[in-house]
Amino acid sequence: MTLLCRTAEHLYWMGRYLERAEQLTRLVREHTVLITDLPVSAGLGWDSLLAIPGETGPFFERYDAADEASVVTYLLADQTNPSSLVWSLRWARENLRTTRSTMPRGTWRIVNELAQYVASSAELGCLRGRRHEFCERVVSGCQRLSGFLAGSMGRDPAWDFYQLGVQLERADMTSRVLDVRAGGLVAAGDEGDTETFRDTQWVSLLSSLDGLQLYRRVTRSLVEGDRVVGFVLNERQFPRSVGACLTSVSELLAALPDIAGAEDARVATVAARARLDQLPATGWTHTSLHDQADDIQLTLAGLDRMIVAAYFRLEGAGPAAETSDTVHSPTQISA
Amino acid sequence: MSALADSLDHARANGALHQYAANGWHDELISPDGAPREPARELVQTLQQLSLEDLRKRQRAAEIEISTSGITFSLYSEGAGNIDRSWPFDVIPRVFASSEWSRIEIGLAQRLRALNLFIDDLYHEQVSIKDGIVPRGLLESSPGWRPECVGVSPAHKVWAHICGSDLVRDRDGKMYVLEDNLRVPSGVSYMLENRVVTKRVFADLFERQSIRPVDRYPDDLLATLRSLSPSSDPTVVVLTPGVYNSAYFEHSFLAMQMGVELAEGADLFVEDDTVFLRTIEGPRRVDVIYRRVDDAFLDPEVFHPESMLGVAGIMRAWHAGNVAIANAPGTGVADDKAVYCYVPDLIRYFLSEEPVLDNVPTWRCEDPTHLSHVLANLKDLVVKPTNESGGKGLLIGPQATLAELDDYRDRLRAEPRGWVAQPTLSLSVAPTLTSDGVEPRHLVLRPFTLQGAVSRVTAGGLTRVALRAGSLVVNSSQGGGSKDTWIVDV
Repeated sequence: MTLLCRTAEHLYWMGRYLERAEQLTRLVREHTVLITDLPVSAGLGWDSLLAIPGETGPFFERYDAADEASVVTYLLADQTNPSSLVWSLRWARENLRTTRSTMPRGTWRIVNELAQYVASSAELGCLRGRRHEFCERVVSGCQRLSGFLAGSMGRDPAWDFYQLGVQLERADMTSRVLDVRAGGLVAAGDEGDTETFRDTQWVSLLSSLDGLQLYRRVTRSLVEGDRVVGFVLNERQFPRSVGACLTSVSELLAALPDIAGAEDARVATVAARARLDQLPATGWTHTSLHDQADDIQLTLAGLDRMIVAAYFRLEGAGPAAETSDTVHSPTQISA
Repeated sequence: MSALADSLDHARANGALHQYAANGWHDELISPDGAPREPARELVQTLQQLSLEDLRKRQRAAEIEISTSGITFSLYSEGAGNIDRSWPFDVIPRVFASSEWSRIEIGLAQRLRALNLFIDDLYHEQVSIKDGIVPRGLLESSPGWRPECVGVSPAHKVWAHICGSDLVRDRDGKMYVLEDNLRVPSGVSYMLENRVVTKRVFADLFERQSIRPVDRYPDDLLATLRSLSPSSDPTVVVLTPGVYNSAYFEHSFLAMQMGVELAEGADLFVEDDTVFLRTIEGPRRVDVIYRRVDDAFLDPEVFHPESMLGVAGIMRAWHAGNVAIANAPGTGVADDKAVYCYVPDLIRYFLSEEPVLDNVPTWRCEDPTHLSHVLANLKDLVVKPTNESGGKGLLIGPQATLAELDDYRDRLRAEPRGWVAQPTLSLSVAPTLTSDGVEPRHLVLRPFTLQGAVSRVTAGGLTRVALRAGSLVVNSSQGGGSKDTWIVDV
């Protein structure tokens, strides 16, 4: 089959945006559950939710205080926030619009319904009493789409680029959750309420990555800090672990045409995968965890650049093409 | 028995067609005596038994289907803000008897064959001009004439591979060809989608009678496009101006249905007079381009130098015979409305056949005797610019104000070549669901004719309906809607 460079790029971004929408929604849902469970004295606020997608700075340019209403509105419903749910779904849909002819027919209907629901009902997510219902519907809409595509898309390069977007975005989000949420937990001393509710927070971390049940089944142990970190970083059986995502990326890249620049991305993925296997099983500190998350995020950003250079801005394919104005990537937006 | 008859009468008295009257127009579904026309019998009976509320429910179901499945069109005038207007659709179909349709199919294919021979002649020997069939002045003044195309010989001598003709039925029941669109006619995707939607809301009716399917079109189109290349396995692409084009939905839809790539200008490039596609595996040669970009934007080397929509060098590749373009550049010369009135003569001249379908009588304002007739009778005529599409610049005499008539008289005198006039036809109507119940609304039909190695005609076409009471303007950009079109075996 033939796949246009432009179409491949749109598919890649569609995958990233859809994964981001699902993951962001799950984070907001789990944070709400956690805050409900913890006493005020535990000191958990809404600001830590902003830190995960790296939105603390941009948020305070527009809002004075990180109260629940402002943070949740900013993350779910703010049409001008390039990290918000409405933004992600809108651009997932715009990227799909230009690839519609490549995708199974029902794709547009599912994304369309979901984007229409979120655009018209995002304020429900901002009300604590309706948030769970809203988030459930969004997450299940995203899962309906990924399930549909898994069952009806050909396993061709179009699928590979869509999945590359999904896997890179997923690894990125996992590393961010680990950085912000686990960093604080491994650092905290044995001080009263913080200590008492530490287990609750490790559980919440796993839930926000949809990994609690699997953690219990795979480790057959209690929820313990070092084990959770190891599980989230590199558990082969956990599809949201950074290691599992990198394994998928590696397999996807191996299936793509072997053109100039492709080897760079393959080598970088294998190297990053190997570094994960060398990580210690215990002894994580706030700093070492943060450095590790940084390393992962730099690796992922590097892979993104290599994929773009190798496949979307092809050398030797005639005179340089104008970049289509309908590809919208967060890197372009934040630049 | 009489209880059953009573209950049927009762149902009719409350049915959706209760109080329906065609107001003296020719009605496509119901004869003047109130009985259903033969091919519409099943449909009319169903409508008589459905309550207005039931019919509205079906209409709403159809609209939800259209909205969620994303059957959209967009308006240039609204810019980028609204590219997702739902396609306007009326749930009551329009029906033809297959016997009548067979004749129309023959007539449409005949017309396109003659038009193609005419275009080929214009860009070569011009014998039809030398023999006095059409005046030379007409050619030289046509904005669709492209001197860059002289001497090119497309496969099968076919230039216009896809033609969308507009057909109307007058008060006397006779079908007329209103115009032929030979450049980038659109609407066929809506014909296909209207059928999908109608099958869902009137599923039962499809079981009780034989309605000809329309879904062969993408295969027919692909076969037509493939027949333009000497290669046994040609690479075909659809070339679109991009997401902000009003017909982008259709471009994407057709590419998907044919399983070919949907390309924008920037996805293609020309090297050594050959067109290539930028793919993730490197350049791939393109053999056939179904372009939905207007001639004038196709190649910045030849036409508008600032065009970002086209592909630099594509005309060189076409001249060299390395790529087929459908429709070929330069076909606009034959859908000029001033050429239209010569089509019956062209059929006789090129095919030695009598035209099967009639033209609407047309006055060409460039002819001084025609012009004076038009000026004297303007209030009874429809005046059209010779080179516009989409209903732009139209004057409907009987509905115009005195000031508008005066304004048009000045415009006609100032630039007579730019205008033609036709009698105001009494376009036929069909029952249409409106906010005031089921009412007659005027119709235009756009069938699509394909010509490559062979000719093919759609089974029916896109029926467009003027949703405003009394209106004759059916364009979706101007308050028009659409209906499914049934060819029924009787």
